[in-house]
Amino acid sequence: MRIEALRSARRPESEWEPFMHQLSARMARRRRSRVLNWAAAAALVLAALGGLLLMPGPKAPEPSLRAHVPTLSDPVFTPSSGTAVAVAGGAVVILPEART
Amino acid sequence: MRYGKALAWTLAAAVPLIIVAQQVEKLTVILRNRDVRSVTARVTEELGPAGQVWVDGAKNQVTVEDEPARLAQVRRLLSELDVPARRFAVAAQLDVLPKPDAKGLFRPSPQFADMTAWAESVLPSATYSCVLDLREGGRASCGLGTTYRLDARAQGYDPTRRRLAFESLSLLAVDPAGKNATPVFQGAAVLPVGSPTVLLVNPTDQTPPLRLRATPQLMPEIKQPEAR
Repeated sequence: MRIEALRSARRPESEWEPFMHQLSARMARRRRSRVLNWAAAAALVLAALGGLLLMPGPKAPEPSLRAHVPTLSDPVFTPSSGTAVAVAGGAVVILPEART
Repeated sequence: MRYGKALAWTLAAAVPLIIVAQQVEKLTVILRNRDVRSVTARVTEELGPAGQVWVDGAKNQVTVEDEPARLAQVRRLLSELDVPARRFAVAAQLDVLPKPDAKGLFRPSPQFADMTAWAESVLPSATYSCVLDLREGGRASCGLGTTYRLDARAQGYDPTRRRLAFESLSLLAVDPAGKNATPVFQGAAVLPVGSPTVLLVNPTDQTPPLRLRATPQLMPEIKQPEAR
């Protein structure tokens, strides 16, 4: 009696093929969405890591002083016009350009 | 054979010693008060033959590689340089010398040696003095009588060599109304701090011979002035 009932509940052979098609399509869809979800999550994590790496480190405060510190090669006086000559005793003689 | 063995032992002992002797170390410093580019030229003067410098402008950071002894010098130099702008008082004294006699020893020509010898013995016809109050990177101006003005724009100070750089140091002749100023001389200067520098200006048709004595002095920083 029970076997009969089961037999009657079975799908007919003609329904098996579309059912299997549906089932495989649903599985493929689910697999695809799972891959997409993982890819999206991975991209998000990578973007976050990249942002952290590219973020500038602790920046030094803006230095107020850009003034050049003299070196030994800097002469005592460099005139913007005319000539300067260093002489004995540390003095500098400035020969101004003759103005007309 | 015995000599060969001895040579091999000597080499084996000497090679590690040579490697240890040639060791270089790295020092990285982030400057807080000064632009790293302003000190790089001065830092390179402290380096040995194996020394190297890298500059990171974005972080205001300098990295130096050299022998440990030289690195200690560089560290000390950087710690002395990386301080807020120092304040200086530049005492200026201008002697206006009499126009020389055309027939005398001094001839207004490029033979400057005549000028120095002559300027030492001659008495000034007028003497003016003033004091410039300026900071590193700042500018100041002071009047020398009613006829002359001294303008200065300071750059950096090297505490190790006690020298102050001026981006511009100019002596100007001003007319009595104070409207027009003609430069007598103008240029960049590096003056020793604490000792005078004499600048002798050859005369032209417009200006007499001048002697400017400039003495920069480092002023102490007063953070908490005494309450009165």
